[in-house]
Amino acid sequence: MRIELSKGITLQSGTFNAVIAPEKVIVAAINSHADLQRFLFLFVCGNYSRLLSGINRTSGNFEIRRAFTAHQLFTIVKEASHTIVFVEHDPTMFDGAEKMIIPVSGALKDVGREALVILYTPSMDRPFSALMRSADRVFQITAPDGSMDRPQRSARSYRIGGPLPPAQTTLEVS
Amino acid sequence: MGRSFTSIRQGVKSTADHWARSSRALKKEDQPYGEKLVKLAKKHSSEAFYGCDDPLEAAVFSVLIEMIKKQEQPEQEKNDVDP
Amino acid sequence: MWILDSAYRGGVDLWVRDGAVTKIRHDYDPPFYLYLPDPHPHHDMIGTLESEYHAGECTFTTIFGELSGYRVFAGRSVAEAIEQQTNYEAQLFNVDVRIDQRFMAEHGIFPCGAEHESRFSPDISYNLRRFEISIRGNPSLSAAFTDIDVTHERCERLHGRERNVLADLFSLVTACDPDVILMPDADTWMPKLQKQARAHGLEMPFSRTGKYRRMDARSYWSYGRVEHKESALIPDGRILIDTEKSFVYREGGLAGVLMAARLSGLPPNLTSRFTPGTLISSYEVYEAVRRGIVVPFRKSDAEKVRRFAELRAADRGGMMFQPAPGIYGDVDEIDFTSLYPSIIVQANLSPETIEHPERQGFLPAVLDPLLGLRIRTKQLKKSDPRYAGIDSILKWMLVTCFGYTGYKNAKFGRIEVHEGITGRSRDILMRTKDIAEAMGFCVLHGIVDCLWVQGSPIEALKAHIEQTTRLLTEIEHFDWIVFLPQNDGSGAYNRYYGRLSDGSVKVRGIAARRHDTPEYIRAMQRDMLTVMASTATIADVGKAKDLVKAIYRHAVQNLPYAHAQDLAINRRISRLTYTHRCIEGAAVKEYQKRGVAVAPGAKISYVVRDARKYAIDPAWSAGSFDVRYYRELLDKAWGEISYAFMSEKPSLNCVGRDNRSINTIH
Repeated sequence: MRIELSKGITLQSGTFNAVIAPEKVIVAAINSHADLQRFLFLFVCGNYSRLLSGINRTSGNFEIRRAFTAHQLFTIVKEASHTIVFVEHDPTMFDGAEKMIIPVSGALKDVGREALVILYTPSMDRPFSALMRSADRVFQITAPDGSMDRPQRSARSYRIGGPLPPAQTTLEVS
Repeated sequence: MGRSFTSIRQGVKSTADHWARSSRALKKEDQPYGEKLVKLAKKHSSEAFYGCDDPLEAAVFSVLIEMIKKQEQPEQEKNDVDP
Repeated sequence: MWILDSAYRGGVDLWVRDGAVTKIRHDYDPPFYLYLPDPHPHHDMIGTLESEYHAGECTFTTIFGELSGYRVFAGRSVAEAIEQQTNYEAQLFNVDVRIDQRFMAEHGIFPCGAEHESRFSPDISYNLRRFEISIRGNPSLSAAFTDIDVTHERCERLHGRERNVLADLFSLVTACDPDVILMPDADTWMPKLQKQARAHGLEMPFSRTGKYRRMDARSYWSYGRVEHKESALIPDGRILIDTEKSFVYREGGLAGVLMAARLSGLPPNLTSRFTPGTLISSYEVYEAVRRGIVVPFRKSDAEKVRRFAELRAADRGGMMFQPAPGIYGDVDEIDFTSLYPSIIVQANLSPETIEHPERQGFLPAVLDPLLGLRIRTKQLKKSDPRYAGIDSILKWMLVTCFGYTGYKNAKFGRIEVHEGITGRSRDILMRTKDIAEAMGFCVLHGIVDCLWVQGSPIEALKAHIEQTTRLLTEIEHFDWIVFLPQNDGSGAYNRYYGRLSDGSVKVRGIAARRHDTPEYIRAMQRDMLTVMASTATIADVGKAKDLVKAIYRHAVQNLPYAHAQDLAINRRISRLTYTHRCIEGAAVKEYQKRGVAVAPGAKISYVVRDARKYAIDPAWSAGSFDVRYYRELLDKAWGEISYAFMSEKPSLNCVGRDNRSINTIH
């Protein structure tokens, strides 16, 4: 099963994909993408989601499960039996629970053997870059005007390296 | 904890802001109606919250209530005058 | 036995007051519990636990029911190793329960109470020797200890060279041998005291063992705000209260601190340093252990999967009715007493009753006696103000238990319970509105657990509401009340002020009430409200306009000559770096520049010297100030009051059921 998330970005089932993209792009994809609407879709997020309020899905195949702790996130990912598992990254999730990053990353990879797993963030931070280490593929989408979303505010938010290149990039990681 | 969705109040305000913006594109003589629409959208947002989860639904509910009131009030006044 | 302090130092030390204070040590080596959904892959690990940590098979009880697993006689590090080795499949219990608290709970004893006393009595008797120490100086800046006020049987002032002052202080404490020491900013001073004592070759006598426990400074999120706790040195066998920083002491006094200890099973040294959220969670833990229920280590059970529409419908807060801004006469405020905890108890809401509503829930069972106690203290304080402090502590514990139920670290919380509470609260407020309107009342404003109505007879309405909802309410009568508008002209939620029937003024959300308002401006509003409070009808309020406006003019005229200290803005900072330039950010930088440690959650006090240049002075060194900036704040505060006199927005009288205007209702 393949899904075209956005122009030039095709995701395959049986992969764990990390996606960095503006919120508008992702919300538009979730709202209007016919393929995403066909399959059993699990949306995972933390307490404060930046995407949920923009989503207009009332279809029965769109389910949500929230994680308020890193341990809950681990449980949710392990128990996911959906065709598409979408995880909206919460930068504060691993505050005080850094030890859970590797298990969660591993669980995403495990689920990604069968399902199509998308780990999403509007902007890079340290926990996300650690989580995506076991991803099969990493995608980065910039807005048409070349802008990037501002980093999410959190008690500790990190910016990795310098500014990211403005073009669409796909990093294939074996 | 909880509150993963923006509140209805905030959602209605956001919708009203969109409508205010759109109103600016109206002809000058139509703009006052746009302003009125924005006010009406917010007027009953706290009550709409009880049954509506969707901010747009709540904004429309609010406007419609006021419109129905306006329509029926002239009737009411007529009735009050009757003995 | 009356326990005034406890600690775990290899064994459980209980400090008991029985005439003198003695330490009783109990050997106590409790296990934690392990459950493996599938033990087979972990065969080797179990073997190791058996041989090294005396692990053995056993059954234990969670709030959901019995589990078959293992008891392991080891500490947290072993528990964490088990987690990692089983890739977090292992479920662990009673790993992070305080050992002294656990000992007391298992043996049915508690701090600050005699055996025959009930933990849920509103009365607390104690016989503790008090000693008060007040160190002159600013604890944020480094200061020498040359001037200390001391109060025991009498007041004394110790004054002179630091070595002598400290030596005198220490010998006084030793001679007096107090049980409780009250010291403003104790937690800030103590590390410095210790350092200076050592420098002078003196020994601090505060701890009855000479040893101190350390509570590290940290910042943490609490209820949507960052809180900050200072690093504290806690003595053994003596209660040391930082009277300035302790929320519990400020609200409830010494009785409040001791009561919190009795309920939570934590010693007063800790309850005086904890927030109400930690107190209620400790109370729940104590109750669980007392009932033989194990406390989960991690919060790993997540909410159920839900469809989009289902979640959106459930993820909502309390009901509100927006007011039409204006001034109203003869208004009653109806408040539900501890609404959310009452709903938990009444509707039997608990994590395990989500699936099994027929069971008696743990949370309701545990909150019920606390709720009952609070209802009693609320009643008692009307005739005896001594109960006000205790009532306040209970109120705060109950208020935070709701937030705590949804809180990510809540041991016994589930978001579905949280949602069940808010859902029922919306229905209750709606039903109350229906009842009020059916009885001819007008509903002016409503927020979650209170309603403002116009009409009569109010006692009949109260009775009917209580009968229908089976919840307790309180009534406050306003002779007049002003509901303020938002920027867009629609009514603001919870921003009002008015005169109660006893002549006092009740305010919410205006400058006089906000913590960060400078004293100069707060005083102006206070004076204005005092004048307005002397008027009992709306008509008379209008007559007071000239007098009140004169206060404003006076405040404006005198502003340039005000003391800079009176213009200090007090804020609790939530971060150290700011995304864009702002006054608060400049204030934080200024503090740091002057070498004062600040952390998120700490309070700062500053004066704006020049708003355009973001020039800020900390309050203690402030001299000049930006008159224009403060004039703006002053005008805003004036605007809140002058709104009451605005004739362009006529006050609406209650429109009754048949849509006719009613001026008076009998």
